Amino acid sequence: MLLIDCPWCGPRDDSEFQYGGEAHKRRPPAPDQVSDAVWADYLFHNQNPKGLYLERWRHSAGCRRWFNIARDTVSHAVLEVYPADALPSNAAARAVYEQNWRRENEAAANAAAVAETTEIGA
Amino acid sequence: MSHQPYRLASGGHIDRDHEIEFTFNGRLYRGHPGDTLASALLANGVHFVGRGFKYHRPRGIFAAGAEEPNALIQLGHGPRTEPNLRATQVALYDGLTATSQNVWPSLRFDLASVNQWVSRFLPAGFYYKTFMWPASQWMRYEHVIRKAAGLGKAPTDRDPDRYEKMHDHVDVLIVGGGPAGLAAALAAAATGARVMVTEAKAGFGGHICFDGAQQIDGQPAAEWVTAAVAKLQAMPEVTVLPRTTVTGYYDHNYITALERVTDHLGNTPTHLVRQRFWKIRAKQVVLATGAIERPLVFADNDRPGIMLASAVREYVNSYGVLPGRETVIFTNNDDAYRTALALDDAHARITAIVDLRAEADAVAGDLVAAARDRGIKTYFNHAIIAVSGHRRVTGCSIMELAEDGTTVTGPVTSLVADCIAMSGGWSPSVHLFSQSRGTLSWDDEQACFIPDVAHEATVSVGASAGDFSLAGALKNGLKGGMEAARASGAKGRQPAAPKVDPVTEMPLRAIWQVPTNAGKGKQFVDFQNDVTAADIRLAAQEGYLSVEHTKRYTTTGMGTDQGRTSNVNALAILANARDAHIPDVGTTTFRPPLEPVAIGAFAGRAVGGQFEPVRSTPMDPWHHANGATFEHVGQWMRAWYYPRGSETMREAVDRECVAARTGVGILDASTLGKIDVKGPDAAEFLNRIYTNGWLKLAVGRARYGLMLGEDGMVKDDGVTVRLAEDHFHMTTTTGGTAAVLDWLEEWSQTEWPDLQVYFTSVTEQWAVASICGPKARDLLAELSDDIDLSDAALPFMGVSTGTVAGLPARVFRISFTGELSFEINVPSRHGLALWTALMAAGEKYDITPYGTESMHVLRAEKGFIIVGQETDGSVTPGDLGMDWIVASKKADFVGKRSLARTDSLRADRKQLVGLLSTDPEVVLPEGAQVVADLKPAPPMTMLGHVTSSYYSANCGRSIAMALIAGGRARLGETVHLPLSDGNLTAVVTEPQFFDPKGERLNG
Amino acid sequence: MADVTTQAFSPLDHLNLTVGGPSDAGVSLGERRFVGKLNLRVTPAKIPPAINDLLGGPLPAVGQVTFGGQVMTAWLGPDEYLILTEPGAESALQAALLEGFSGQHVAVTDQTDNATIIRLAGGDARWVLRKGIAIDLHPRSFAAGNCAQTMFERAQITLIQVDDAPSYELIVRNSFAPYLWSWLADASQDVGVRIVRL
Repeated sequence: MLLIDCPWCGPRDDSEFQYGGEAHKRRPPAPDQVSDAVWADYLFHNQNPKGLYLERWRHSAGCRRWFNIARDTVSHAVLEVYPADALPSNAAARAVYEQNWRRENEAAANAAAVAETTEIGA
Repeated sequence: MSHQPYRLASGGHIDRDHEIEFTFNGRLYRGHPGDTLASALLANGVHFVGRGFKYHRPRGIFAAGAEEPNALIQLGHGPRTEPNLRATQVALYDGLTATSQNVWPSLRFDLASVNQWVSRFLPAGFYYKTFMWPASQWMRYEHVIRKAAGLGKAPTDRDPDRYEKMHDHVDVLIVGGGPAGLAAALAAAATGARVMVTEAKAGFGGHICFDGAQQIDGQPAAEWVTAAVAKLQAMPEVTVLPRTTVTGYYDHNYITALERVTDHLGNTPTHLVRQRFWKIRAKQVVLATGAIERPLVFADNDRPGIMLASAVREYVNSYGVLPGRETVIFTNNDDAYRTALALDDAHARITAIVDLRAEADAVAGDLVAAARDRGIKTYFNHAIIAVSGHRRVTGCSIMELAEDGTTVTGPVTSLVADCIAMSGGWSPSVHLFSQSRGTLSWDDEQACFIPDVAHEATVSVGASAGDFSLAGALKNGLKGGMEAARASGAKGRQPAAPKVDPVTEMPLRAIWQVPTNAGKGKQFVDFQNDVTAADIRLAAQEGYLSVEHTKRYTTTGMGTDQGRTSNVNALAILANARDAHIPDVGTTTFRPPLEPVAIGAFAGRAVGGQFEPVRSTPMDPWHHANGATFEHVGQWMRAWYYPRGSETMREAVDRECVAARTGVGILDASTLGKIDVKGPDAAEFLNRIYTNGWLKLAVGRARYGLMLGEDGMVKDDGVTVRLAEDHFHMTTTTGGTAAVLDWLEEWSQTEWPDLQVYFTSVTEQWAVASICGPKARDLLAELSDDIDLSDAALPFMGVSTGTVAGLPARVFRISFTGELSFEINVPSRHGLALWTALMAAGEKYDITPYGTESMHVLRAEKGFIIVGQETDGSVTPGDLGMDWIVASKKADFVGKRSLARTDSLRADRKQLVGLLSTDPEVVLPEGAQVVADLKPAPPMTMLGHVTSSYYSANCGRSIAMALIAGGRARLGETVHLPLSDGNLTAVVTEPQFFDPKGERLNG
Repeated sequence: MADVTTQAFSPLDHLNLTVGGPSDAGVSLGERRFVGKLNLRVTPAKIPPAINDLLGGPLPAVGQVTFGGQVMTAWLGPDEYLILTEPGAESALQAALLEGFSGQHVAVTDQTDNATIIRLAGGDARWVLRKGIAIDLHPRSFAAGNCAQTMFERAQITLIQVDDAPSYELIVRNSFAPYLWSWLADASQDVGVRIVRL
């Protein structure tokens, strides 16, 4: 059982928490304006790395606050716990954030997705 | 003493002043408190206690502790029976009864023992090779195999014993109470750290308690142990747990341990639990789990009377029991000489020591020298090539080893023996270290795996780290304990190591498979799973190169034994067969639990009424007193229907449904989720969460809302009331209460933190009675003189505050039945009073309480959905025909974008329709599949399924709702419901069956 | 018609508990019925002095409770507090708090009837609680004046350690109260339990 350090309540067993999937996913500010593909990236597509992962957790049995953690999915080591609206300060975690395809290729992905939708439509 | 012919006149830690009786396989024996079942059986001369798993050869007591592979017994009888216990771990108590496990029908006459004569048909992988065809017969084979394989019998009655869990947090957890563990505990405890030390056996000290005359700091080792334990027990921050086995080592130093609280007592005191299951979070762990002696792999090494050398020593020194009167010691190392010395001290006859090592390689050892000084006959460079005896060993034949140790040579010498004490060296107990995902490395010198890189905050000390000397165990125990305490944040100085006399020991000689020229004898590697050296070689020959594959193919290292005594021998033989180096073959993974744990211990107190909370409403006592039947709705117990006299469920529900539409019905609606929504942005927030518009809802008015997931699928629904400009009272489904509050918080905290709004659960603050029917207003008027109930003052979807029956109340005029209806909310302490007052005042209107079943029927008559019944997470508002509630002009709301996805717009999506059974008396089964084209047998193209189905007395016929592919386009079509007991037909209709225009809302 | 306004039931009333038990019991167990409970949501940086006066001091820090005369305030989350007051005093306090916040964005919600309080006290109270609570209750981690929201087996609770006896108050939603009560009564068998009226 993982020990998760709630930023408010301190270390608690993972059974007190709810898992919230990938962190730092940005909801398109104008959903009506984005393609199905872009919407699918937000809604359905998640990283599933073997290694360090930035993910959302909520202390459901305690203070009910959402927060982020940087966790290695292989070793289960928790490198950092940080606020929901912040970026990780740990260098490795920061690198994972920076190298996420959502940021690296956001513009390209959007363009490609739009093109793809048009093709399917045609 | 005459009752226990193999009990020595003195020695051991047993209570000789008391004799107790026990029964094994129906025979009465005697032993002493302090015995294990195994030691007491040996004291009575009983070695033969079971049979092998596969060949059903006779098997005897083999070890003295947790590593015992043979003496598996079924303890007790009736509801208290427990299988798979090792006789070596069962503390003897007066009146104990036990039977051999792996025998059928009895120990001495065992039908399956014919297997040993047909063993050439039972090679490695015999399960897979023999029983797979025809596949349809596997279930039958499995039944017979399981019976013959003696996996024990599970009790059929409820476990009468009590168990509990205990949570603890410590700075340093020390697993193992031998010399290394005690030293670690003393060092860690001295810093003031919170320390726990567990020991699987009743007594502490491990090997030093039976290894013979040793001194620690000038006092006998046993006295040092007693003093150390007493010192630890006296320290307030130290928990000392004997009879406690650590069973699992999980992530982040989460450790489970089983404490046997009363198992050693015959009669369990009723106020105590039988076992306590500890869940421990440790900052640091010190593993001092000791080592397990390995058997030697020689021909017929499984005969009863052949035991581990250290076990023989433990029985002599700890229990005052002589396992045999004429013992041969067969060894590849010095430690077995301690057994020779112990037997000699007890004046027992030692036929000879047979040592695989050359004299020159062994003679410099202190223990070897001591044996020589006492004149014990030793055959160096010799091996046992054959064993005589069937149900008990009677002797053995030995020959000299050839130069390279792979063959034997020269004349055969016969030795008389009723006990052979063997030692193939020691394997550190790395199971927990391995469970914690630590990696192992191979120690060539000592021929064993030792802990290498730890994954958790853990350190191994003593024999479990491959340090087999007492001096080393004490020194490194202190060091490990101190380092662990410091790592946990404690401060202090490491105590000085106690003084012990050094013992010079010579290296062992690893001969993994003892050569023989005698032919047929089976050389067992894994005694519990009946795996021989030949099986492992066969697996290698057949191409099972990976150790994990070999494990599964041969079954070596599996089962409750988990390869305690067999793993290293098996790996070595596999490596030899593959001509590989042992570490290159790798080792298997050890999995929790370390030992079998009773299911009751895992359950703890979560049995019976404490298994799961049963939630009930404030009106619950009335429902019980008035004959309601109940149904589970999540954790809630809700009144289901209220049968009168001999009414059937159908009759009661028919009556209730009619009354709710003709007179007045009353429902306990207290379980509905209620959330107080407060803040200047509350309306804006609701506008984004619900599909419909909320900004213009007037104060004092209510509105029905539908909530979607971001995927556009219906998530929850309910009526929300605007109490003030910045204040709403939201209701949710009973089952969705917690999820909806979480959902609101999630959006508030993570997406829209700029919106000023707070959410507070008030589900149980309010008790709710819902009254409905044409006479509902008349009834309410009798109990309220400060609420204007007129249509003008309190219209449909209106809200008022005042008193009902003198109680402070909020009254919502909302309806889930389509009738004139009021939901009366009062503080929950008054819920029962409100209900009783309504029942009393309603008497003259023939008020009829109705339960959840009638509630379902009444809403279905109106075509109202229930989230979770008409929806399953894959249903959009459009699928439900509820586009009317989706405000597509709103810029955004949760799930809106997904409604425009291509998939959400498919014409053949499953859509909600009504179904009318061709036979109006037939109620279609809920969940039944619906097809358009009926075929004689499946497969058929399934269109969807029935979501709700009832008999409706108000409609005078059965009604149903279904989700059907392209259903809106099928109105009027006839569809089929193929069922196992005949097919039904139905016509697709609109999903409204009663008052489709909604004219009854005003009574 | 009979006056029902005086009929008020706590969720444990229908268990018909009998007061009593051995005098040397390791724990005592009792229910504090109808204690006033107000849930406060507020950004803690902006507390008017009037509120401190009402609560007898500043809002509690993380994991703490504050005691202010007839009022006890427990920290629940970074913007959430539970205020306990004498039975019947909740409405007046709610009104006073709302007035004290004078239009500021806050929520003061009456949860008096939403939950009840079970008090477990005595030398063995910690031992009994540890059977159902996974968090560390050792005095080095959790002492008098501490509070925590956590799970008691299957029930979500707010736990407050009131004094060093130790006495604990377990605030539990009404419908979970019978489960929690019977669990505690059962788990106290090994140390002995005395049922008390509070």
